[in-house]
Amino acid sequence: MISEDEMELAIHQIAEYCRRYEGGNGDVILGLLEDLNEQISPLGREQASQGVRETFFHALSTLLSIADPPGILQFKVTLASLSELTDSAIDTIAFDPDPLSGDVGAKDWHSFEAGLPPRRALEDDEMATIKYFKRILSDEFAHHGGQGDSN
Amino acid sequence: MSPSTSKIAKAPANINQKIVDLLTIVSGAPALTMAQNKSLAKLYELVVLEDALRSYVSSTFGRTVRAVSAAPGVLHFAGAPAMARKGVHSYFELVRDGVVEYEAWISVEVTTLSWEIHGKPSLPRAAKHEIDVGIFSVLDSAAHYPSYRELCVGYSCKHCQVSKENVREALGLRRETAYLRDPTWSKAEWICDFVRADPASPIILASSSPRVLSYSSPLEEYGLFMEHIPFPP
Repeated sequence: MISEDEMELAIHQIAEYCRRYEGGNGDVILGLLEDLNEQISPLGREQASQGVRETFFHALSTLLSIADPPGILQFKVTLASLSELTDSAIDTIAFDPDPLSGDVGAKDWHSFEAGLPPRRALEDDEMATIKYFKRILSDEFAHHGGQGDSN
Repeated sequence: MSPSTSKIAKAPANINQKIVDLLTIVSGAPALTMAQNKSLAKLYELVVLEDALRSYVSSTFGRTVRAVSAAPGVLHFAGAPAMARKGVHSYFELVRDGVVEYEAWISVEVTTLSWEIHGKPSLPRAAKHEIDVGIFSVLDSAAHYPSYRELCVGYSCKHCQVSKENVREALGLRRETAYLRDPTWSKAEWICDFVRADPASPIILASSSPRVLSYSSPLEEYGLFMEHIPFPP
């Protein structure tokens, strides 16, 4: 169990990282920094209704979505779940090409799976770190029934 | 907040180091392409759809769901806002005791309240809005844009950090799909008993970020609900 004091320290640490970050996920990191600033600025803390706990789990969720984005594995899990729910064998899912993205005419419809990000190659210790935080997140959501504390 | 020694003593000693480790992994993460981000947004819609269907099935005994698809084993959805096209796009029948009660669709556009008030002239762009995941009353077989009156639950899906702009967008969808009224029995009683809207269709802003929940109050008064659906679940 992580205490609120630990969470607050982590929020400051993550905010500092966001300020220095230079990389390809800049938009997401910048958005996260804006959210964190609400929590850590003295004026923001007076006005913001969000608590330390909610901010911490929001930051964690955002960082994990960059570190280990859902992809083909998640697709398979969702496919299996829909098959089980509908009591039918669903092998794949396809979407029509989106006219806005300019792929009209390529095919009538294309395999969805191919467009998902591939799984990153991560070291064992990196996977352990990701799993550690995913477990903390899922425990939090299990305890709160998916309802974070917004006060 | 001043650090409390007793609280810190209970916390894992290496948590700060683990945060550093996580940030190091983030530093090395490649940015996703626009196409990959778009595919993930679609995958998130599927996750929300699965969650919505499971919520229906688990609410009362005797409720099941079946997939309706032109090609066996393949679910084929619209890739952009579209009409409800049976025979082309896949959808789901929500069944109670053998009778189809509702249908669930992805990316279908509904015609709006303002268009109805305006007298239904030709259908301009602003007269229909996409419902990322929609549960409707049973729709006609002919391809058409369903009316907002046929909508029973509408999900707007955001696999991103929800901003005030997203909330205003959802409020716009609420405005275009119902009048504000005294609480009425919900069209989707497995989600909530009453909705202060006519038709009493809940609108749900679903996000992979837990931050969405901070916008819950007071928008529930309009039948606009915030839901955090983790991704990956």
